[in-house]
Amino acid sequence: MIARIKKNEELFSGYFLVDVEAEGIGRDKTGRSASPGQFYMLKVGLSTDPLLRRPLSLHRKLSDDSVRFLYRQAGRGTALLSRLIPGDEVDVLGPLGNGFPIPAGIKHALIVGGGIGIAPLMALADYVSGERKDITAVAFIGGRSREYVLGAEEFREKGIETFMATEDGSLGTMGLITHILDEYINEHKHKGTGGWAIYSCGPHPMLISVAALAKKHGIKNYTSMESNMACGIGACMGCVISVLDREHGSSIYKKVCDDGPVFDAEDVVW
Amino acid sequence: MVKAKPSLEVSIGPLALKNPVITASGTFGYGEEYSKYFDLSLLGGITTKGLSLKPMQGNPPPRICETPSGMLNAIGLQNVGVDNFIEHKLPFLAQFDTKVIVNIFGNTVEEYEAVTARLDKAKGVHAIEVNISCPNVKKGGMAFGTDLDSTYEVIKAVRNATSLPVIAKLSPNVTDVVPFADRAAHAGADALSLINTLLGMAIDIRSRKPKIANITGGLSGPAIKPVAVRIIWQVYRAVGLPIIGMGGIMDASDAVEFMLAGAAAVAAGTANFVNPLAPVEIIAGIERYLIENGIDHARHIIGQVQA
Repeated sequence: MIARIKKNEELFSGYFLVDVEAEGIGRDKTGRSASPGQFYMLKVGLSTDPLLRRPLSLHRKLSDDSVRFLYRQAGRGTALLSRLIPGDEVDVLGPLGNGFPIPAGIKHALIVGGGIGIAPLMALADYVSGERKDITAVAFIGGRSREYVLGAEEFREKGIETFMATEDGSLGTMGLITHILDEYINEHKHKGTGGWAIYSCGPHPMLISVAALAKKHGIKNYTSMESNMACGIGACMGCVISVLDREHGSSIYKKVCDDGPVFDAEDVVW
Repeated sequence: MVKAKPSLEVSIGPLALKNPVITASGTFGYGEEYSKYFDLSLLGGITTKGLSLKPMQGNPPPRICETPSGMLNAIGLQNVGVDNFIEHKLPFLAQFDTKVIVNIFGNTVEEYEAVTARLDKAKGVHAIEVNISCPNVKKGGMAFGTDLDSTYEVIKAVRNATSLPVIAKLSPNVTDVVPFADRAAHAGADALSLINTLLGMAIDIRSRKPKIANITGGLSGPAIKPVAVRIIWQVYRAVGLPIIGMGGIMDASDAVEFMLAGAAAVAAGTANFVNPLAPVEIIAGIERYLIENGIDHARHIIGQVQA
């Protein structure tokens, strides 16, 4: 669908927030509301270069007709997007993908994000703090330095206890956010970790550490994965990652776009 | 005076299509994904993702990367296998009023033959497209399509194993496609699909690694369009078989260009990834072109380039 840019602002060098409006953009083709962890495929302009759409996670659903994305200008596609001004058109496909699962019985959500990885986790925080008051969320946000710790203020405004870490110590604890996560779990696990789930998105090494921690503590970890994508709807088979096939005990390829982008971290062959 | 709508019907040898627009193999899965976006009965035909005798896992990731006005892929023919396809995918496709062209490949001539024999007995298959041109698998694929005798042998074996129309999908990764088209014709092919992807490569200059794990991959998209048009024109003039033209077709203008070069039908491939509605928009656009130019039948533009 053709959507219009409402707002497109640079947060800091190369990181942008864009609000996009179109009738029904906040719902999928069946009328189901876009859910945290889902994504959209965006195309700017009619040129064949760049050719492919760009996948962007739902950052916040503002209404049924308006969604927000947080993106980093990484290549030509996002560079073109960053130059759009209010009123400009962008071609949007979505919402796509599975989204973060919240199985019955989840009472405590540990949200772990690194850098731009906070993009889909904000939507999860919105959902949990708004519609699932039975779940308490706690957030762990890391970045290279203070600028890269995105979304911490918004998390706190939602009443979510939020821990921060930076590699250079410019904000929060100096070091890796996964250390803070480990400490937190060690401190609180005596109350029992049944009903806990960890939701993670961020740099690959961080996701690996989070998955290992989750395994060590016996906590479910749902992780949002990234991959090069062409179609975003399950046809091209270009975006696969290796995932454990529990039935056969071997690894198989699964599509990030429509088998994911959220996977049970235990199944991912890191 | 109100003019009658032009006829979009074309024939690929014995295969009659209600319009010239097909989906290219490997870009449309087995139809399920795109059925959420439009009624597949609108299509002239659907060509399925390539099938082998046994299921295949495909190549390790990363499998794709974008290139100027195109993309490289090395999916490695990941597929569910012919038996699973017949049991689970074909019934879905059979409910639509469109022609189902099943793309096949094998590691040996015998495998091509065996896959064909299974499909020949299956209900709902209208034609077989023989892939002898995939650049991304070690055995089979392009190894057959870049050798004249192997081309003949594979097409002949498939021809003998089925009474369905046989379409040979040829490789552009040879100096001259015409002799290959000629051999395919002599082996009994009813039609040709031109072109498969061009072998390409891209390197990440920071990591100094190839951008896809297979190192090389197949280049598709608008970047290869002029190459496809040229090959179709050359083969159309030299060989009598009907051609399904493909290679970077993004819109109706591209489709008409391919038909003028000699394609009797066209396939949307990479375009499906960018715009799931591309094939239906192309059908509408071809019709508009015919009306605007006072042409009453789509087949009247085939090969009509004034060269």
